[in-house]
Amino acid sequence: MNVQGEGTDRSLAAADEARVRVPRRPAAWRTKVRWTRHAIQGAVVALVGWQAVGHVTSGGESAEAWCPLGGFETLWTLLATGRTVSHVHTSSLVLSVTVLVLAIAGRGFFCGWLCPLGTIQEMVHKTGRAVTDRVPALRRLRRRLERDASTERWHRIDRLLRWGRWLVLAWAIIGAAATGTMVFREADPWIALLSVAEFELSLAFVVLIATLVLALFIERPFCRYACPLGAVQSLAGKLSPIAVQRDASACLDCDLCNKACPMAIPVNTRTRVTDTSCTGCLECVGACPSQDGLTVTLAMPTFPPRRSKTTVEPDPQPATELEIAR
Amino acid sequence: MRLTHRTSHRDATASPARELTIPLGRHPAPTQTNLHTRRVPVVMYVLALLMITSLVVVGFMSAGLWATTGTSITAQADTPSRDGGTGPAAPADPADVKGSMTLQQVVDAFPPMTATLLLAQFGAPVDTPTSTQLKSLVESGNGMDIPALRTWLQEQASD
Repeated sequence: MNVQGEGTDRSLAAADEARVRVPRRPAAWRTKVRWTRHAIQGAVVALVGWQAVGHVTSGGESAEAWCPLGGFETLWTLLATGRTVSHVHTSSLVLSVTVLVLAIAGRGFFCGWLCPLGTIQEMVHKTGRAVTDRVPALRRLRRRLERDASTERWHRIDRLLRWGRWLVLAWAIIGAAATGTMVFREADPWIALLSVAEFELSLAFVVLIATLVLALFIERPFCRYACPLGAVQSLAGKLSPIAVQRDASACLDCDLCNKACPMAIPVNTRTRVTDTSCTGCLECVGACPSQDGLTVTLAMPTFPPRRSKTTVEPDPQPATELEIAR
Repeated sequence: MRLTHRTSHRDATASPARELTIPLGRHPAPTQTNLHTRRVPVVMYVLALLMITSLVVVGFMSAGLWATTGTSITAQADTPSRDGGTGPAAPADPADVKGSMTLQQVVDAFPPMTATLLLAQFGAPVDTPTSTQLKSLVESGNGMDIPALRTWLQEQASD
């Protein structure tokens, strides 16, 4: 019996030695990144809110002038006539350029760190979660919804609905070019939110309410399914050298990154997260318990190596930290 | 296999150890990418992108291309109006008149025009401040809207 026990111990120890160990990410890291992001988001919301309140109370400039989408909507009219469409000022054009530069430099950074509408949806979702966590009946309902959401049928619907962003973008751009007005403005929840003090039951207001109600159950529903600005950024973001990269050799397959992603990207199936819906929020990176599992990386320009007879071929499998740890 | 997953998950979240263990049955493999990548510290990522945002906006602002009121690009470069508004001067073309402009801006742009004449068109009281935006006058007016005002201004200019 003892001999058997010793044998088992020895085999367990051998198995343990054979296991690969990877460094753990400090627990406070996620909190730091998250609070930094929330602080930046809060500052942007406060700035836009101050502008909106100022516009309503003292007739100051409209916060609408700070909307980057207007710049894209007016582009055709601007090129054709030299004028901007109604409600668009040069500030919108400047912000459009800024968003494009930002998308090329940092992919979805604007969506995840700066966009006030995204921030508000996040806030609503978190409030919804906090409430449902405290009410058993709602908690059960949420769990049921989450269970249903993980089915293949829902995934198919989700994938289909994500095309909505491109349709809305086409409608906004082509509509503005054809009519010379901002057609999307009539359905823009952001406009409805800015003019909430001058309440008017409009399509935009209905879209806003629908967005906020959906945000209780789905993270960032407008960003996922209808945001035309997100669609523009997705296109420009394809040129970005920055992306979250997954090191398969340090991945625990724990699914925590997938659960943390507000845009429901299956992060643990990617090598580089270059999905068009990535908002660059780094929630997946923060959720990853392995320090090297997910990291932000910059792709460097590479050139094909010169072939030379005297060149020593590099080791096909260079030593990694893991092997050293082993 | 599932048990292994659970065990590793617990390792990952609850254990105070400074290292994590890859679950049994997993075959660690290096990342498959043809790109030559370099890790970027998150602090640098955030700061660099915030700096890019600020630089682009400040750059355009210092070039005089930032305006939160006004109309066409040509109009943006003009001097500010007499009412001390932050916006650009009013346009010379009636087609550029917009609801966000003040009475004073319109008066400034179309010299023979007076505030009294404009207010009469809107059916607004004569003592209405000239800093009032046209859209406010439209809301409380006698049916005169911005397109109609543009047409009227065009007629006045051609007379």
